[in-house]
Amino acid sequence: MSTAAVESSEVAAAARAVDAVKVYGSGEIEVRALDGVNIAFEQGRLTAIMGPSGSGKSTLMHCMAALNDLTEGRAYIGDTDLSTLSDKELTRLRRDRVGFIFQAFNLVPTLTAIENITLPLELARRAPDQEWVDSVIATVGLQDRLAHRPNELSGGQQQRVAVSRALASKPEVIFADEPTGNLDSRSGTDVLRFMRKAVDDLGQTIVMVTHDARAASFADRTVFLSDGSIKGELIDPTAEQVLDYMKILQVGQFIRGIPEGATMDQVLEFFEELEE
Amino acid sequence: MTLLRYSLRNIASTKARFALTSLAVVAGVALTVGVLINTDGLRSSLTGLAGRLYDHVDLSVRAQSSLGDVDQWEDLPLLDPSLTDQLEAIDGVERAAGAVSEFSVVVIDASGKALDAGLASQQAGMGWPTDESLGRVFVLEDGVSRRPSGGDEFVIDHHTAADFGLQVGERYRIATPTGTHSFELVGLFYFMEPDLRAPFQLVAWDMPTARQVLHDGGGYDIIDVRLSPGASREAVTASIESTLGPSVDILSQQDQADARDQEFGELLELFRNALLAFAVIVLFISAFITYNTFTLIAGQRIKEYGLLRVLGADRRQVAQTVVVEALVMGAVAAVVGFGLGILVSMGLSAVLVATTHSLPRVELVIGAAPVLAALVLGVGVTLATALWPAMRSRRVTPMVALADDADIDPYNRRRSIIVGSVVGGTGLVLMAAGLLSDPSTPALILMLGLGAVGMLLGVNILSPAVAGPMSEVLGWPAARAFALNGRLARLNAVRNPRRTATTASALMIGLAMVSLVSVLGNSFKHTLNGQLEDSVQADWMMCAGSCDNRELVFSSEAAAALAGLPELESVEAFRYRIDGVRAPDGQQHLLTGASLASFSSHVDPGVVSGSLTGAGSGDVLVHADIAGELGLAVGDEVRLEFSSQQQATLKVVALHSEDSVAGSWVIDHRDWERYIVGDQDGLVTAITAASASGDEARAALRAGLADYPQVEVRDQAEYRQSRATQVDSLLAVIDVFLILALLIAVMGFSNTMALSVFERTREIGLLRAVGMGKWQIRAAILLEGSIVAAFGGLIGVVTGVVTGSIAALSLPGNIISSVAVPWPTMVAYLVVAAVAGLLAALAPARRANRIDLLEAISYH
Repeated sequence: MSTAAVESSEVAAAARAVDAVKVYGSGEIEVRALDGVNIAFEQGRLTAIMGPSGSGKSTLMHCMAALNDLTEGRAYIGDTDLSTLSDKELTRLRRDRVGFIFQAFNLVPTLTAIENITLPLELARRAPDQEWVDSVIATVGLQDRLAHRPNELSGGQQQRVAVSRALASKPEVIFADEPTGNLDSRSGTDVLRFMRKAVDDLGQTIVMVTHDARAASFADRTVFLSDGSIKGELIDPTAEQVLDYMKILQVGQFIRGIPEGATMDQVLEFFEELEE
Repeated sequence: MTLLRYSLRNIASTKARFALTSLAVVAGVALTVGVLINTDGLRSSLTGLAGRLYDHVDLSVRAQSSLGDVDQWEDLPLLDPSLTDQLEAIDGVERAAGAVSEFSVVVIDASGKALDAGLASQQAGMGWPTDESLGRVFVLEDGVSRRPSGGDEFVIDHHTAADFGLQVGERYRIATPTGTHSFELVGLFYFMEPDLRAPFQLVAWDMPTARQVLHDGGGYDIIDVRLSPGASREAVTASIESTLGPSVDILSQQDQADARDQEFGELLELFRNALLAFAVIVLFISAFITYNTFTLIAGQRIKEYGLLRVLGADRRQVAQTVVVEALVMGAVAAVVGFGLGILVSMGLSAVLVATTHSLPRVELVIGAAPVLAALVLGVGVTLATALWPAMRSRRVTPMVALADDADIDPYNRRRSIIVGSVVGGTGLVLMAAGLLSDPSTPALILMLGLGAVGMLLGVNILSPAVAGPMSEVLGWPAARAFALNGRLARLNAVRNPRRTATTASALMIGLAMVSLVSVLGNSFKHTLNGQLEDSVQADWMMCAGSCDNRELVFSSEAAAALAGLPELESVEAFRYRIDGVRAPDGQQHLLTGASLASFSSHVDPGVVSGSLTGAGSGDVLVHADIAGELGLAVGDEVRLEFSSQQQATLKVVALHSEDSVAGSWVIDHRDWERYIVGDQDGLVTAITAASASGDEARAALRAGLADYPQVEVRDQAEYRQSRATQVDSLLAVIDVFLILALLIAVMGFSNTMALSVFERTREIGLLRAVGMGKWQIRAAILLEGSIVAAFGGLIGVVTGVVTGSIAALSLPGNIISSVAVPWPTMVAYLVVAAVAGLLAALAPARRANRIDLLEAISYH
């Protein structure tokens, strides 16, 4: 596992955050949703961000995906500093370089599946790369549902349309916000498998926020977030490992001895020391 | 393309709402297009007629006129019959033939009743052309007919004969300017084409008889001239001028056709503008409805807009989706409105033909104007109302797609109060300026119109600020009477004041405009009644038909027949000429002829200075307002020019203030006979003798007027009633349009109410989930509808009453002098609004109950 961590730092980052701080409200109701986060997401990987409710994981993703701005610090897509962009440039960035998958699918109900998939290209006034779109559709297995409206599709199918939509414009990075949150476990597994395939077979980069350990187990790397800061990460974890780590994180909130950003090995070490 | 499809599918997915919303615009467009097409058609048919009317005449000669329009030749001095010989002696004149005609010639049927003139028909008599090839396109019907000849024969147009069952060979009495005489009907004729209904009932005698009967043996009204082949019109005109001198006017064929055209044109303009005014009201209301719909729809789609932004849409693209929807909707409204407009125009023609019995078949003429109007109004109005919602959609950020509760444009009470006050205040200032200053009538109407629009807009912007507290008050009875449902309804109306105000606004604007017009109409009626109440002293008022039309006259023989009756103490006669006198400042006014010294005991003119005692020939009574403009005082001399071309210097003996019966300038009968052509009366009044009862007097009047069945005998109450009926029927026509406007407003309300309920799908599902019954939900929504409608109704009626009162006060005193708010009508409007609110909420309430519980709770 430690070798994988070394390897990961050698791959170029598709998106990263530097000293990211996001504060909502002010005075007594001030909430520091992000409190100095430093993180990089590597190209060609599926990265999961985990954490309990209110940990700041969604905020982190919104800020890194150019949907929301940071109070302090920097967020980058590739080498582009988002804080330097105008609204127009942000729009261009969203349409050309970033893809998005929502928990609630968020398909346009009046458009068919294929129209939804090509909508971002349409907005960008770009001719779709037909070969690419075909291969995306083939990957998610939607060939025979393309003329259907969202309300004629199952939840799993809708989310697969949403995945295809995010992939269609070949973005540098795709952000997925609880993509399996509204799905039963079978459909959820299907969607995760397609996201996995998109990374492995199509070379895409996906960052996924989830609180589902099983979802995280599909990731190359899982980052744990709590109280607005990174608490640690697991490389290529199993679902059990993720669950264990989550438990430890919760326990760790009581036991302040665990150093911030501890790896699994360090945590185990800590517990061994504690037993002694 | 997908974005375009997105807009189109949005429309398709909400067809009912889309249809309801565009219906308002469609109605406005249809009305406008219908009016334009109809009046274009009328114009073209009438212009065609006017052209052909003078086809056979090269030149016409009549007494010189510098007063009035070229068509008022009935007021001009008559031409000596010997002029025809003089004209025919002129080189280049092939033929000259005189013509005679007069209005208010009424045929009496076998049962002794005057023929009913209908709404727009003139009853007239003329001399049968001495040379039928020359002008005056009258054609005798073959077979039964012969040309009238001698003092005992007449002919009549065949439509009138058919309408009233007049038989050739029978004798009929005819009321003429020289009295009522009996003639034998010897033939039927038609005007230009057998099936063309001319706007008159026309009788004809041979020329000498016509001159005797119509002009008491006088000359011709006009002489038509045909040129010899090859003669130059200019040269002949010059020779006529040098032969006859400046006492005659020479009109070319073109002059006469143009004058006719102008006359038709002015009438059409009036007709068209009155109808267009209603179209504008309907469009104004529909603009509010579409604005509301777009605002509410944009509010509901806010998450979708956010999603588009996440997917890479820029601000412009989001706004475009709104604009495209508006464009499509506007285009559909324009096309459908245009189609319906053609139907409206055909309907209008049918109504016109049915009511006037006199219009030629109106051709369907579709010019550029109605097409353009449909496009500009349909697309323009819809687009204009979508602009602000489109601007708001630009402000949607990508985060909106992800946030749970998104309100991009939270209601800013301060801003709404400031903007509303500024807009409304500007309107008020404009109206007040109209009230305080004394601008020309068009400027005044413009100021009042703009001011009223400003006030309505201002109130509309302000209304959310008061929607909360007002709904609280208006909802109190509901909350008391219906417990939970009532409280819930009231709470819903209070909670989101902007939604309440938006929902109510179509109804508000509709009711405001309707009450505004009601206040004006009622004040007008009240003013007229007040004037009559004040001035009519006589026991009996007699006029031909309704006493409104001063052109309906009857022979002065009628008054003469009443003069000696023992049942009457005294009889007065009044005669009128519209634009019959020109004051020194060039303005033309109504001229009245009466017995100056005695008439005020019958009709009190409200003398404000001077006295009519002993007044007579050489004296004149002037309305105080006109005297003020001219700087005239009692005792001054004034030089007047009459429609007969005669001039006179008269002495002002008194100034008066009541012009509803007396008119503007009143001269004595003796001067009338001297200066004015024609001596027919417009009104005869009588006072019952002390020795006679009312019934005896009435019987005596009826008997005395037996030869003049067209003259109605009315006592004071009947007279006032007949005048009021005239105003009422005018107001009734207006009411029909107002009800149409109100219907559209109610439809808009129902539409916005449905959207407002739809917006709360989730909330309603939650209420159901925690155990609220279907009927409870329904009751709550129905009650909310009533509360919101009552709110809109109240604000609308108050705004309408205020703007209407200001407008009524601003208008000149001779049109409206006092404000009379029809309170019962206003209360009725409020009740109608609340009931309409209830009814309009029915469909949304039913829909609310069809909401799937689970789906509602997980609704996003």
